[in-house]
Amino acid sequence: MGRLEETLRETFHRRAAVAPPLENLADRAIRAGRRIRRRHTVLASTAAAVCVGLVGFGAAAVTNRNNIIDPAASTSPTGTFSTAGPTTSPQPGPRPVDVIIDSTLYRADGGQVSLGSIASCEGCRVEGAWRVDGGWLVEVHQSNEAPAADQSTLYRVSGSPTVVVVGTSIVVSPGTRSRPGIQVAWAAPAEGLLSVGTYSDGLLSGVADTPMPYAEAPPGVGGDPWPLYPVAVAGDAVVLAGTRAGDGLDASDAWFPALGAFVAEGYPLIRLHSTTVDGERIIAWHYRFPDSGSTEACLGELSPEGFAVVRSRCPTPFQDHDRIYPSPDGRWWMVGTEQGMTLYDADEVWDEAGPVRTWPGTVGGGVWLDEGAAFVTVLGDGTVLTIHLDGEPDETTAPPGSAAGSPILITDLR
Amino acid sequence: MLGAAEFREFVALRSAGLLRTAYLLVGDWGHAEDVLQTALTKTYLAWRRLGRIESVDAYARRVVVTTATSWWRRRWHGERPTRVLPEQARVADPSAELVERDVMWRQVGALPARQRAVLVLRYYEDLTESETARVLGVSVGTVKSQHSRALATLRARLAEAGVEPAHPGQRPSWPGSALPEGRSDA
Repeated sequence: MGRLEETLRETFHRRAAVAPPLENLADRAIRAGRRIRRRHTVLASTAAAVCVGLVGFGAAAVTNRNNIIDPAASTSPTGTFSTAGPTTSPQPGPRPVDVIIDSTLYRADGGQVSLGSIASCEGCRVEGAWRVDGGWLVEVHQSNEAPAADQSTLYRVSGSPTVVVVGTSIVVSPGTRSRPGIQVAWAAPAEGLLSVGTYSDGLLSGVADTPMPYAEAPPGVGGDPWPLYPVAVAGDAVVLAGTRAGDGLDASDAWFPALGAFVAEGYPLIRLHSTTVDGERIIAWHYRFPDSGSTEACLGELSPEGFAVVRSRCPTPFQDHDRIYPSPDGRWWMVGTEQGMTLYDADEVWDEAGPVRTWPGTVGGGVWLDEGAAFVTVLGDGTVLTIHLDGEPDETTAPPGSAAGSPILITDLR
Repeated sequence: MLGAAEFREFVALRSAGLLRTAYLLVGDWGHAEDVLQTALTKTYLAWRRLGRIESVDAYARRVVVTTATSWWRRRWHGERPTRVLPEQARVADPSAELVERDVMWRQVGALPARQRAVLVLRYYEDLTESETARVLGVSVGTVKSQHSRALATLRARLAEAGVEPAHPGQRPSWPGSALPEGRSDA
């Protein structure tokens, strides 16, 4: 073992040497577990009442409170939202968005849908969910004893769940001008295929396939090619990324289904933060080389074609793994940073402006409401936090019952 | 079938160790306890299905790791690393080893959650690559690549900080410091 590894080992052991005392862990876990079991029993016995029909749900799914920000308003950002914390303690009850906790979908109107039939299997966990016409799309990942057999399944949940796709690296996208409608991309390594299709009413149409894309090492590096997986749909492309086992070499590329099978173009390496609101371009961490021998990490808005830089800010103010959530009205970015969700002006961020405000303790991704008037995210204890950008105080919603898991917020794609 | 008494015994035996693992994953003792409590609740809910006592520990550890890495969405609650060491760090031993471990800890905290989890499982839990892959629910190849990337990143960042990890008991190399006897400049 090398010196680095030995130091790493010693660092871990010294850091974790003195742990604080713990009390009543078993009792607390048993009490919480029994409450959850009792709740599941009640739900099962009243399943006909719980799993209500979805007709008319759409009217209640997205709250319609507070004022929508006028995009033309010239009010300074600090004047448009409250700098005070939530005025009320977290309360159970209707949430601003649908959420999934463990194997239950809690609707914004207070109803519940059990996902036990698809999410309670051994090694299964819900990875993501989206609200669509007629129900939801729910991605369930299943880990197996043989890790190579791990797979994800995308279900349509509307009454009895139905399978949409089975594969890995499933991407669900709201669609673009070139590829309108909800786009689903996925890899099927066992079949050696990568696919993309348009989802509607429980079915995929216009499915295009390509042999599994591979990246090749730069000249002089050598080694075997490695697979690339879908990470986003932007413009008329499926954006790809992959890491080579062994040396961790990364690569990025794009597949244009309309042009036929994937052809490796040797695109520059990027780390995806997001796509733009219209879905046409990529917002990513990328490198530039200002002079010989130097490398600079930048924030870039890139075209899917060749990852050409449309605009950029160097150096980037973000970490390569930060997630950006552009508001639908194009005015804000909410960025998931190590300090918490952080608000940026979507135009001024390119002019080296700093953050407008940070919400510490926020950990759980996020979704926008009302075209950008509010942003919903999750605190570390599972509380759902609604951040208002229109001057109203932030609001919190406690986890339902004694749900032990962290909420997965559901994005509305309707 | 495993019952509540066996669960309590399991918690009494393993909670301290699981807490330490959770702490190394999230960087804060308070949050580590939250992760552990959540993981133990999930483990209790699955308790009746765990037919062999040998599988309980692996299951609980897996739940701790997945809860820590997914629940906290890769947020590091410990101290943030800096690219430049504070001046007080550039001192001679015996504090040099302490600073080296402090720098290492900060840089581990800056790694993506999956890479950090691989390092904790490999170097604190002493799991093999295949055992690590089972805990994380990924392929062995992914473990290898995440491991390589993590170490490469640590090497680069430690080098930027002017820290060269030394063997335990050996004085680390600092700019301007004298090298141990028998070792020449490379």
